[in-house]
Amino acid sequence: MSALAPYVGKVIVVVTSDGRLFTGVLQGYDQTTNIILESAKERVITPDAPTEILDLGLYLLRGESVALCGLVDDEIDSQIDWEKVRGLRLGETKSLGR
Amino acid sequence: MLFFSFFKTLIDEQVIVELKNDMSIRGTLKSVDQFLNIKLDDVSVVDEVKYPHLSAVKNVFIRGSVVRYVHLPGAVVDTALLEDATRKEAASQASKAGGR
Repeated sequence: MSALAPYVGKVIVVVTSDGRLFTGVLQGYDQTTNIILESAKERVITPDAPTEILDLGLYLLRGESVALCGLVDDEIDSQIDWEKVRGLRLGETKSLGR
Repeated sequence: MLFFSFFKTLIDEQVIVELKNDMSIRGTLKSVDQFLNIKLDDVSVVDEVKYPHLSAVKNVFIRGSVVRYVHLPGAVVDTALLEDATRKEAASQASKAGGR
């Protein structure tokens, strides 16, 4: 069973179906991939402006809107200056019609 | 259940998962479940310059519902076995639907 159990209590990155990027500590999840993130922050990465970081607090993300959860490697993450990072805006997973 | 079983045979192989948001992620398949959620270890995003979002991430969990393709190494797939399993599955589906 491909569960999120090993990620609980750790810092994760969540990509949502509308193309947003969140980071926080995984507090809980269920089989529909609903996610509880503590100390959630949104990282708004764009091609032409400094990365914005928005502090959100305790968040519940509905499973339908979760695309991906990545386990953050602290060593690597602390060496990245996220303000300087530039990248494409993430796409949405749903196209017209469905 | 056929594709769940199929993916289980590919555990520890390197694959590329293309998501519906057009991002592609290369990694080693470590786990799959009944929803075809996928866990990959040692990942690298295919176009890292465009998508630096996952630079600090080594392992990912990908929700099955957002997968568009899973690119596989052809050599690893036993197509004869797969065809056979598919025929069996189709037969059992047909009989489940009630003989007409």
